[in-house]
Amino acid sequence: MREADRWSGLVCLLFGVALYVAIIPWQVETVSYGWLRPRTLPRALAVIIALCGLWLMLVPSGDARPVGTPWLRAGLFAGLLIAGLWLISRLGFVWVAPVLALAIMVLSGERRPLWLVLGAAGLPLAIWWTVTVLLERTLPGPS
Amino acid sequence: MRLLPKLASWATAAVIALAGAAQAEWKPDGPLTLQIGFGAGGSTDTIGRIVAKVMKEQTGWNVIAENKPGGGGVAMFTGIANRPADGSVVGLGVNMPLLVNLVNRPDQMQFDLDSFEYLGTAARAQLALIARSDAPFDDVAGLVEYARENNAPLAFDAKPQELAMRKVAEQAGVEFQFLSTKGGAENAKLILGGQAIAGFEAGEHLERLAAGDIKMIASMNDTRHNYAPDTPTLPEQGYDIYVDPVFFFATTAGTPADARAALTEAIAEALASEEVATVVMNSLKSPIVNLGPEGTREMMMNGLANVANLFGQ
Amino acid sequence: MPELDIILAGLGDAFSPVTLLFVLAGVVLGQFVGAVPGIGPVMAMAIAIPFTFGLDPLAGIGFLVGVNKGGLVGGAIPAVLLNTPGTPDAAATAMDGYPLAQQGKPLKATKMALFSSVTGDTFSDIVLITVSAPLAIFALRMGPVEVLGLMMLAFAVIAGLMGRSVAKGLIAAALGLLAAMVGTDPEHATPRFIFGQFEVYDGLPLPAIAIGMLAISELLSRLAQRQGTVPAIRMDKGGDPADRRVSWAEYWGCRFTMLRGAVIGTILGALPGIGSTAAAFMSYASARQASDDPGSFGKGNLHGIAAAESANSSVMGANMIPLLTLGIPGSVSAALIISAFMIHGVQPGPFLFEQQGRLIYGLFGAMILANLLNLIVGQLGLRLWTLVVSAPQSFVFTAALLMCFVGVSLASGGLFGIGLMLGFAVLAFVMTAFGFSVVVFIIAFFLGPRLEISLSQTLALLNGNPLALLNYPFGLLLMLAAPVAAVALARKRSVPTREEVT
Repeated sequence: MREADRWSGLVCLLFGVALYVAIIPWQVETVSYGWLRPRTLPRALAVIIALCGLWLMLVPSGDARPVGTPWLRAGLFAGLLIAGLWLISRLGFVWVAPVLALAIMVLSGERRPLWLVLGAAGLPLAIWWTVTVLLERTLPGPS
Repeated sequence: MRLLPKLASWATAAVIALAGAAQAEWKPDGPLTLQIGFGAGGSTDTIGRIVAKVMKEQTGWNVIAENKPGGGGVAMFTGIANRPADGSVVGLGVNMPLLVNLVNRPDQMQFDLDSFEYLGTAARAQLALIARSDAPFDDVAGLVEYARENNAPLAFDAKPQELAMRKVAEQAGVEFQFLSTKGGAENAKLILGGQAIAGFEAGEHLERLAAGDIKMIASMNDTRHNYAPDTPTLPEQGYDIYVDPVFFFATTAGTPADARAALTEAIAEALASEEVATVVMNSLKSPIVNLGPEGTREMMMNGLANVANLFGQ
Repeated sequence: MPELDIILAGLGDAFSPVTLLFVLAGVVLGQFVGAVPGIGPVMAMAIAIPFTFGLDPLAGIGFLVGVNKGGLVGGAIPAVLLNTPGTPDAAATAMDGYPLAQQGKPLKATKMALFSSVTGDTFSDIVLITVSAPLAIFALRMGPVEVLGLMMLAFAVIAGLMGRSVAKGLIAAALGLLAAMVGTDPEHATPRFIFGQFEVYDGLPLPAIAIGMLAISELLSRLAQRQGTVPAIRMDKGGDPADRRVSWAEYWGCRFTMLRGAVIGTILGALPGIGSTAAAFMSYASARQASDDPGSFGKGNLHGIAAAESANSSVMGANMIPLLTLGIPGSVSAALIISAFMIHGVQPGPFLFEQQGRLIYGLFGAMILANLLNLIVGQLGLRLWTLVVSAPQSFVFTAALLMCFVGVSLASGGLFGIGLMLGFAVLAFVMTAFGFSVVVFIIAFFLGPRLEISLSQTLALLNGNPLALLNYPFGLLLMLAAPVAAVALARKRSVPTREEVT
């Protein structure tokens, strides 16, 4: 997949340039003294990323596999987890975990009731007991 | 300084002084969360968890300790400043990181010192300037003379320590080399290993001090240390600068007076217990110092001026 | 050297029923919690510390030692069985452990991890008990210049893991270093790349990044493959029993690999601040370099497991050397042990052996005891864990995901940490698809802060005079060795890396 390598090289090149000219000046302060300034290493890294990106565009290595990757399903699960996180920030882990667990299991093809119950009820219960009762810590939730 | 909060906290103090029963009148509506501005396992975590445990036993409230690390407490206090003032969350943090950021990047901070009601302090970290016992000097004046003739690398692990010594260097007209490290332990390693001529430690050095491996050059706080009453502070040695890290409790500004009084009282009572005193003494090597609400507020205000001075602003 | 009766009294304390019980409880808890992807040995200890407030010093510290050592064994389990390491040093274990587990030999792989972990651990404990004093003096001599040399050597090792394209390897390493730059810079303490988020003012939380990139991204790609109802790990019940155990001949065959790993781990562990990641990968790289058949690494070679586990476990024991002799903790877990000592009013340092001889020999006894218990509990525990992961993938992966959420929230401050974990999981997924090595990114990310700070310290010490470097011959030697090692290791680069295997 040399084509994919050229594209990822281009992305790295653009990222390196953006890092050097925009992001570093915006997000890293300047100082007036010292040996190793805050910007020294980030700038060196920006140069490396940009130059290697260019190198990759010119000499693609051909070991990228974007076509064989199940982007859609992976994106589905990632989206599910992000939605779960957002719900946890509103409602708390205790209420969201069973729903999230059930959704992941159903989406991954599980239909047997016993396993679904174990995952959606047993797992959150075990985690709740371990964290709040045994370890006396708080589960993630709204603060 | 605004007058109203000051009056309010005097009133709080009066309430506590006159009627110890204040606590009975208010209790948290649900659990009381004691947030700790650092990660699990450090000295702030230790103090927070033992205070929460004792407070729970003494008051019967459901006190939950929770770690909120980030920026030495800046992340946690950002949350506390911007939440409902219902007295259900108390923060335990250290003053220096807050003050340093308030002085240097006030525009990025979502709070100022008036965003909080101060409830008390737990202890101060007794910060010492130390050197190996075979170093050819015993005080700051000697260190300065040494630096005139030699390279004098100093090991520090927080910006205010470095800035204080830069002030010293500037005033005395000498130069130090500054070795930035990740903590007091690394400072000690560099000093004992001879790569640094002097450096900073807060409490961990006592055993070696007793063993005679190291000596104490100055107290960096504005008071002398309880274990070394004969070692003068940096101001006493002629340099009007100090670094005074204090562990303090605060909650959201605008918390009702009865809630504040009850929280202040509960924290003070927990700090007064022997169990808390022992754990704090063992882990920090410092005694409990509770400045009370008004004293804590004053400490923060003075600290802001001192830190601004350190950073040359 | 204290009197013999003190040594015996201390060892007697360690084997008293109460201490024994607490060490056992620590090992069980450590193996259990450490095996949860997202928690790991360090987090397990941080959580366990408040439990020791009310205990006797020896019982409390023995408990923590048990948790730490149990956690080391437990940490390898998800890496081997599910390819979801919670820490980068366990990622080194996964490189050969997971392929072996996939070949239907999960028990063999985890047992090899257990045996080499306990071997490395015991080796460094023996070094600690016998020759800690001279080693501590050696560690003190290693100043910033020497540490910088060591970090450069560690980065050279990455060269051997880069995969086919040098450009991609360099980009992955540079991105990892860039992630390490988030937070305050070492010399001036100014915030970098924090975008107004003070949660990352002290740097990106290591557990969130490691678990996101190593564990969650793997779980995402496995979930995406639609095989939910098959068992997560296949075990051939009727197969050859030799596939379920590690024979003495196999163990003995790895003796040099384990010895090399233990020596590397012990030396790096005695130096404060380097950490087990560098040790695990240096040991792995040198085992492959020394092998007659480097092509079999990454495909389930027992030597690969032995190299990684013996090195990362011996680091933990060796961290106690500067701690007990000088009072200087060499790692986060050693710092946690120090805080446990201090809570009980014991100050580690030069007087420790004189004043607390009985406690120290009690501690040594507890460490040896914990190693023995680790072996016994591990034998039972591994069966349990392999049984657990023979449940359907849908269940096992869901459990792992939920535990990663909770573990990261405990370890790095709540929801923000979980958000970072998910973000970096997506990044790792994309990187893998386009052929960039996630392992290289993660190692660079973990080693980055120490590299930058020792560079800053070295520059300050040299004070603008490069010739002053000649005053540090050993450091200079290490710096010169780095490019040589990079070239030597890069020659064997054609060997597949972890991503290509899975």
